[in-house]
Amino acid sequence: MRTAILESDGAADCHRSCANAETGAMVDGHRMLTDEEVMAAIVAGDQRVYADMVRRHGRPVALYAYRMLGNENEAEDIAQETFLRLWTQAARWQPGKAALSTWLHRIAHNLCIDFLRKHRISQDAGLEEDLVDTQPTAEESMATEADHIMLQAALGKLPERQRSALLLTHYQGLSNREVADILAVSIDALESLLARARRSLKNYWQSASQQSAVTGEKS
Amino acid sequence: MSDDTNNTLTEQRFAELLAAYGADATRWPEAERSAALAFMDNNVNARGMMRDALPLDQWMRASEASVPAFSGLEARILQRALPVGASAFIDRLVGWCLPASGFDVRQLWRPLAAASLPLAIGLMVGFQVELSPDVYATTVEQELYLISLSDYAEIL
Repeated sequence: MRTAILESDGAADCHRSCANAETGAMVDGHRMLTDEEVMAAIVAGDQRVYADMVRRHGRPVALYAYRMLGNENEAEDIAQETFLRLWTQAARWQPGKAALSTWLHRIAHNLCIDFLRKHRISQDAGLEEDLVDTQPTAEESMATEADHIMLQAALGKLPERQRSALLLTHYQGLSNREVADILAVSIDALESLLARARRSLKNYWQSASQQSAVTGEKS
Repeated sequence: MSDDTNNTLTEQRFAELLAAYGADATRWPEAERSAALAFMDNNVNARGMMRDALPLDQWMRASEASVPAFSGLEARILQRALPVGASAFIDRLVGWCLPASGFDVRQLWRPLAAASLPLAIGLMVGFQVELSPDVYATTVEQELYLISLSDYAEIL
């Protein structure tokens, strides 16, 4: 399948930028390569195509890792390793099995899970650092930052599989079939993971909102 | 009270979609999206469920502005030296021998060529060894001396 022609700015927006077939590299500034052509070029050692893939998928992959791990530096390491594997293992990609963006997310997902199991990260510890470092300048940015910190804390409390399912579906813009493929579960099982994740987030958000309302009244 | 007129989606399935994918219809499975939207248009309960699900999605969306920018990430990834080592060579060899895209003639002759290479090398080596009679002549003489049949050796 040939991908559509896209603008050449590298799709900076992470939200849904990895969706579906919009994964190819640019050639001569206007034509999109198919996933197969991209991988054949990378296997052949074409660094130009590789660089285009890094520009297109680098930030979404890093953001996924950041939301999984809650740490910017670790997320960047995961992104670096993901793209190193794209270079060294491109010949192992099978076109019929997964889109290139799905394959990249699977690599990043596996690296994140390995990292979490090795280091047993305390998400809350990382978030405390964020709280100390954050110096909002306006009321709006404070509210957004507070939302962000609260959400990261809530995500950190979710079991790994629920967190992955939610992030891949909600933020990375992958289809339910692609996410089920990455997590090696059925669609039904994925929906169950997602429903449990959202329920937990909702409970966390409601209790945190109530707490902050009580604190606000006291002060 | 429900005024459901769409039979392709049940209220239970609509609730499941909301529970799993949230209130943003663009995240619902493509195959069910139209039916779910039509169901919501004609069902009061569904619209109520949608209203209840919205705040969580809004909260999740609000935090998107605060994620790290990862400025310069691409440059840092590209600055990293790319290996051109044994593993890359093996991967390329495997990729050449077993082309993954579609079925074509390459999928037959390339594995056959790769498999017959050791056979060809073995045959070449075998012929080289047989075509060296001097080796055997020398060996026979040495053997005769070794078993102390020097008289017989002199006759030869």
